Amino acid sequence: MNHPIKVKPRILLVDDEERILRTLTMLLKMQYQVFSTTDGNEALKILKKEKIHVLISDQRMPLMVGTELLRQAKNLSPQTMRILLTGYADVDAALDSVNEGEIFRYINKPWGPKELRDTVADAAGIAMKLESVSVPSFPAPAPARGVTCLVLDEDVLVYEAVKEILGETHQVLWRTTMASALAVMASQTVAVLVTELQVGDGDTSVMLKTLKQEYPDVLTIINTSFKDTVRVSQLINQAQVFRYLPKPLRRGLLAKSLESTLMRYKQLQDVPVLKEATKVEVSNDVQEKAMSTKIMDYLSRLRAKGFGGSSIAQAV
Amino acid sequence: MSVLRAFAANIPCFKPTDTINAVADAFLSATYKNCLSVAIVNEYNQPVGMISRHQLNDIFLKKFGRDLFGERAVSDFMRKDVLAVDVDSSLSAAAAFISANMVFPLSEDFVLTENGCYLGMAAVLHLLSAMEKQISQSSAALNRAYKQLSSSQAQLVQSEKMAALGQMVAGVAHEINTPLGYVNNNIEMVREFFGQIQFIVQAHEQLSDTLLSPDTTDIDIAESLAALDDAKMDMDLTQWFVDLDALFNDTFYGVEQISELVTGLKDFSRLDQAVTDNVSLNDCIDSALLIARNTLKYKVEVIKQLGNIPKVRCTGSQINQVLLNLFTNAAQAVKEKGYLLIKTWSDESAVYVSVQDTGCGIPAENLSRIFDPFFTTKPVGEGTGLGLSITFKIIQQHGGSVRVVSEVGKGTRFVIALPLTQALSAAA
Repeated sequence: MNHPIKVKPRILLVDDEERILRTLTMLLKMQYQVFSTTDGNEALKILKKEKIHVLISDQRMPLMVGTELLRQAKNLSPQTMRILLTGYADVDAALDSVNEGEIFRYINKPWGPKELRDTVADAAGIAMKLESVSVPSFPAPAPARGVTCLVLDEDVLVYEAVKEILGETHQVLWRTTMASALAVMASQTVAVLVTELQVGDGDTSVMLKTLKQEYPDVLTIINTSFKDTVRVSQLINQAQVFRYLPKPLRRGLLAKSLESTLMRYKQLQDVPVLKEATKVEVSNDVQEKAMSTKIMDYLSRLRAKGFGGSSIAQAV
Repeated sequence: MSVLRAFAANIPCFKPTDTINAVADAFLSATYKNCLSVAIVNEYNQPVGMISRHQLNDIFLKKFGRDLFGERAVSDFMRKDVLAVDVDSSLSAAAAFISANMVFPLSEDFVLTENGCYLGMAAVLHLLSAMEKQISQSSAALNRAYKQLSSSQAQLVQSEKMAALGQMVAGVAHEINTPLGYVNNNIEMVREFFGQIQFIVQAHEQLSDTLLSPDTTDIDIAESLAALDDAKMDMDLTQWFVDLDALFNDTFYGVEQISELVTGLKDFSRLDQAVTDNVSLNDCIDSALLIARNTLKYKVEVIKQLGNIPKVRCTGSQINQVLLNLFTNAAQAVKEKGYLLIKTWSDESAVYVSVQDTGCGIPAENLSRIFDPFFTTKPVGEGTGLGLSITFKIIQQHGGSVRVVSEVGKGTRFVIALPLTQALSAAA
């Protein structure tokens, strides 16, 4: 029996139900070295001691809630890929997992064993790749300068707020329809997209998902009054939105979010391999796929023409 | 538009200096044929008195009445507190004034005035029939309003029920979700393991065939052994069996949890039991606690001190509803972490349930209103304000009582008493 000794990626599981820990350990232990605990504080100790590649946490736990653990884990071990595994449909927790936890995936309980394994494999693969490169300490030293921020919202107040925050050092553009926003994206490099989920020509979710595949560099801030867990979780998994801010608009929160988004942008430009960590899952909804194909076609036509000439609305 | 104006009969009035005879003659004329009384006005046309046909009769019926009093001024005999109503006053105000001031037997008309001046005479009977008409109209309107109100109240009670049900279902769904998650995963694990075992068994069979076959070479045996080794794939079989055993235990535990919850739901709704029965309140408490477990477990530690209490005749599903409502309220009142103390005891007349929390408490000014329908301090959309009013009604229908004491910052305690012998009024 002469097998090569493989270094297994390390996984940390956190859930207040021991039986969940046992079964997940069984599911993953062939491929990974698995650590597990029911206590968030214990999890943080493990994170400090071991180099953990993937952290999978439950949300509702008595000693420390999942989003709090994920937030601390992000600061303690930024290279660790974070996954929330929850059966509790609490929209505030979902928002926290985006804004505080910057998680890689949001998985609902009960989970599909195969899907979970695939997701963990994805996350572990990325973490192993990132491990081999040296990453400047987090957070990045200074936010990006002189970049373009596109605001897609029918509400002029949002544009004005962004303009006021970034206008002196960055270019801020304003569009109210997806078609015109896509025209901008096709013609120039956009760093940050601040968008509503509902604009003049429809729901932007599918566009955001498609854009992340086409332009993985663009970081998205969603600013909307739509708040539902299913939607948020899809936008995490399939669009890797960077921030999800509830309307009514809070200027302070927007300013803080824009600042961290620009820092993140700089970091991703300096160390491109980090973009791996924002890999998205492709939706298998038939309608969404068809729509996504349309958007991609439209984008490529725009790019071929220079941009802007064609009739815009027909694509979406 | 004045209702009263329509009643004004344009009857000429008299001066205070007119004689009794003059008034009496007038009453005999056609103009005054339908009048019970006439008005006496001053020089500004303001009524200063009134005199009735009845009063004149009294005067003339006296011996030598007409001779003695006929030439006297009417002002000597007239009623000075004039039964006068402003034409713009409402029907009901007019009716109230007239009925309070008219003389019995009914022998007078009343005076209508406008801006204090004489307008005409009106009959009390007209007023009466108008009132009657108005009352029947408003009673029809009241009836309609009552019907609308009771149907919307039924809808509200229904929506409170639905809200409570939704909360309950969400809680139970989450409770089932956790065991379902690991049971499902465990089964998947067992299936994968079963697949591996199949390969290993096949390899074993092949090995035994090889060993038993008369013309087997050493090479064949070595190959079979190697195949078996491949099938084992580095698996530590002993460890796997230990792990699998744990998974089986967990799976059975999980399935038991799920069936306990389903039984709990059935007990809670009491669908398969008589509506009104002899019920143990301790069982009701356990049943409601199971349903509320998800709401409670991260907020409060439940301490039960359940006494040995007799069963009471009640509608179990309603009592469950009451308890669930009190438990969820308690959990909501607790900000971070707290306790929920549940006690039961009994005396010769009643059984008692005390539900006490260490939550935020209820300010004194709210305490008297908590059982009022629609009173709520929860944000819009989170509470209908009907929960406790329904609780109160249910306990009242059971002939029982609800008491509450609360201190802001310390907590709240509800005590429900249900009588041991009672006439259960028709429960809604």
